[in-house]
Amino acid sequence: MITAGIDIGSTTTKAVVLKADDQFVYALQPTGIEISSVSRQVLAEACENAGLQPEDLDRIVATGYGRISIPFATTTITEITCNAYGVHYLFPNASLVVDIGGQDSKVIKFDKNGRVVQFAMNDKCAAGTGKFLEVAAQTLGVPVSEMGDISQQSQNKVSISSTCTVFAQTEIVSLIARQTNKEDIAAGLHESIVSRVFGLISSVNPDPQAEVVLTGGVAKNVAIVNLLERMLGRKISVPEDPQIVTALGAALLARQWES
Amino acid sequence: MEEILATFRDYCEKPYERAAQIKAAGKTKIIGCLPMYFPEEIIHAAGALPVTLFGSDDPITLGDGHLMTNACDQVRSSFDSLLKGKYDFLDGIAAIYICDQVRFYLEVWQLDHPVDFFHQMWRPYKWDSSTQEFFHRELKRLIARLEEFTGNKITTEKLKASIRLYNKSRNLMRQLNELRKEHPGIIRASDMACVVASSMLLPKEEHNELLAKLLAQLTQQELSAGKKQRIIAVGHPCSMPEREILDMIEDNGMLIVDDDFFTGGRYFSKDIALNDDPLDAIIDFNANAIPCTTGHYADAWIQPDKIYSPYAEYVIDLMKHGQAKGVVVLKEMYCDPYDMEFVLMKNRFEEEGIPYISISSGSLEAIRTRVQAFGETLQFV
Amino acid sequence: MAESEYKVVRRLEGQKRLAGMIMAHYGGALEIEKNKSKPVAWVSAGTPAEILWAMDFCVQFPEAYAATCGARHIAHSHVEITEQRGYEHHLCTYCRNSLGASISQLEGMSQFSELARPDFLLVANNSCILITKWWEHLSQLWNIPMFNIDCPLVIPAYEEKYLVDHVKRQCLDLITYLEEFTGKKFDYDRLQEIVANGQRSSKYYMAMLEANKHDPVPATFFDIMGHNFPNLVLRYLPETAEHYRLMTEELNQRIADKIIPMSNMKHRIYWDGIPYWFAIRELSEKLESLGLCLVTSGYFDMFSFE
Repeated sequence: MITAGIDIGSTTTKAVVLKADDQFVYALQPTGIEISSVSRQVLAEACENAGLQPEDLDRIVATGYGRISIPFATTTITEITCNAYGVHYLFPNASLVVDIGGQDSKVIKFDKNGRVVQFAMNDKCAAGTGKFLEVAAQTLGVPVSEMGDISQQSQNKVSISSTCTVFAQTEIVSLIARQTNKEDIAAGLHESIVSRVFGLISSVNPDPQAEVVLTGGVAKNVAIVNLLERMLGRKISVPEDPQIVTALGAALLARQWES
Repeated sequence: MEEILATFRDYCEKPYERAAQIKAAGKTKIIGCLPMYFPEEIIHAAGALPVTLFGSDDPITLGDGHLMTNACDQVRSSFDSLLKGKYDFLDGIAAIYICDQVRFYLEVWQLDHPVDFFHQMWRPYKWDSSTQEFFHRELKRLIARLEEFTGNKITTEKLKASIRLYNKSRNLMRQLNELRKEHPGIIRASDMACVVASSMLLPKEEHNELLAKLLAQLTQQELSAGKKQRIIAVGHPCSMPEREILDMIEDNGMLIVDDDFFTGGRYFSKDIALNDDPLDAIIDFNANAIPCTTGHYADAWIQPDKIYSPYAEYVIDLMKHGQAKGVVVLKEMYCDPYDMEFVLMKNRFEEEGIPYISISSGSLEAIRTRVQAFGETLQFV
Repeated sequence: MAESEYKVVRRLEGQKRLAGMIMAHYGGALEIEKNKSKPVAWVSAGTPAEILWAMDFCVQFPEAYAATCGARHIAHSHVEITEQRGYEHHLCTYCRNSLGASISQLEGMSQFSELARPDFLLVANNSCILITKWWEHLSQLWNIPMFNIDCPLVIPAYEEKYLVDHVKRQCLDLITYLEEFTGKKFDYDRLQEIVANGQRSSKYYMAMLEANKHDPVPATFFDIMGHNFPNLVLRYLPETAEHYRLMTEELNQRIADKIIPMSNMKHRIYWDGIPYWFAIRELSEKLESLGLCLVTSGYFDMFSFE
């Protein structure tokens, strides 16, 4: 059976095509506002990468915040269930995943079969999400992809007391006005995000021995990984392509789907 | 059946229309009661019509100039409605100092928009024998003021008749709830909430008649058992949960078999006894109501090995009786007592291994994700 | 006013005495905890703590402690702990701060000098009802009994007699309970004495606040507000009245000697509500730089036990 998972996130749309031999390929694009057509394009691209046609797909599971806008999906499953399942597939010993996405961050506890036991989401505001970092990078005038590296050059980290993205932006502006190094501001911002995420982790009472996996676009930021490892006091696993784990989970769950 | 349900929904869409009609007809005084626990029976016994004030779904605009935004929606929206003239059909307002929000913001109401008849009364937060005498005095003060305001004497006989009528209403709603437990899905949770909410808006006599009709039609219905998961929903102790969210729950693989909402179990689960002294019966009724998160159940806290959260134990019992697999907690934003109690309840759920999810504010889409994900987890339990 | 007539001296002599009283209170309580010489009670500000003092309890005030944590800038870590346990961030900061401090204390991660561990909790819901919930959570954390005194709002519709009866009934229940709890008979003579001490403390406390009616003020309110502590926490001691008598004397002497706390006093201002404990210094400096002199606050008159 050939399946696909398509994850329509607030920032990026990801598609994974999973072949019968467990090989998978993916494609991704910014989500934009034309959710349905972007999804079609991303899926077509992933099929092309796999040397297939979209018609070859037996089942498609849509996930992510735009999941209900995909008319060609076989069914929808939430990003929570898909993410945990994808992580479980890649890291069979893991039991906790932290996903920091563009618009929300979530912590999911799951069992040895990859089934969700408990989850916590920060979806009320952008504190502790990729958006927070993006807005801050804009204010500092540096590319968001370089934020992690810049923060690691900090000698004298400042503390950012506002967790609200809008207020934090004001705080950054006043720090810049006081000629604070951007490295030090960036370091403070990273700490602010990680402490929010840490709060979220504590709220699901994780097993202290659990293997923790970090996924989502923000997992590519080394500074976040380092800080979170320090706060948790243990190593964190990061998949090679942290952005596509949820779409992979969707493709895996598509195999098991019963109408 | 669909027709009657539509009528109930309609009453909830236009909550004050029926009361305004009655007012226009002339004879009956209409008294708006702020949620919750106001002894409506006493107002009824005075020949007036008690109508629960739910505020409105409209954006709060005028109200925000008077109350801080950390006031709960219930209080802000109701005051906004008052300022906008939506409560103009009322002859008076009555409220119990049920929580800090009501108790402190009513002062703002009185200062910024005085109403002729605005009866505020105290109900104990601490439940044991020491607080009942003052409560008794408060009930008598209410009776005296209502008699003066309406010109009607509230006799023991009249009060007992009103209690009987309200018990009848509660009994009918309990029957409906039992039916839902036996045949989950026989009535949607959002409709159930409308049935209960409309009973707070209409004369009970009319509502009872309508509800009896609905019950007769429902019992004749055949229902196919689906694969959906039985759950209970709790929260919204003094407001109506959003119907979209209730529907969202039931459209995502779950069926609500029982609840403790203000517009649900909390309103109808128990009757007032028909004692010789109706005031004593009203006090007993309040003291033995579903544990309220604003209440302090003194006996439980003075002893070692106490039950830490009578409310949490109540919810766990509700779940067991409903043979439910999980609990959805719908929190009203800025309801401090509920938020505090929630922590104790959540700890108990975790101890007992009960799957739960709590939902407060957020965009409908974000809520959909949580709800759907919870439904997905339950399938694995 | 002609500036030259006046001499600016900020520091009050009484500050040192106050610091000594506070230290002795917290230190003494920890000593009592260690020696188990007395039972320890945690009470809210609006309770008849006199009953506990009369029964020889060591009495601690979590609200005052929470304010201190705010002023020492350690409230934030307490609040974070509490939020991680599932408490919403919009709940009262006194409460989140206090519960976080208790959790830290119980789990051995306190960063600050602690309150003596409690054996009993007393609360009254006259300030708000959230405080009863807060105390319930303390009761749960420490696994100890709590007693709540239910207080209706004081509104004109209520006759004072019935309000008094209502609260008195509960005080008697409390006494009965405490007699059982301690195994000792309640000493009404001792209560009389303690109530009299408290009344005297508050009388002199109010006299101290009155001194600032003078223009120009002998002290800014920032210098006086900390002196609310003994009036609440140590009111049962005869020394407390003496402290305020000396404070009043000092303030009146400053008036006589034309001593003022700051130069550039352009306006006298009043502070409404609870002070920003976490930013008192910053606020004080800011107002002073603008020529604004804080002279009093109604929040502090509330704590009169006269």
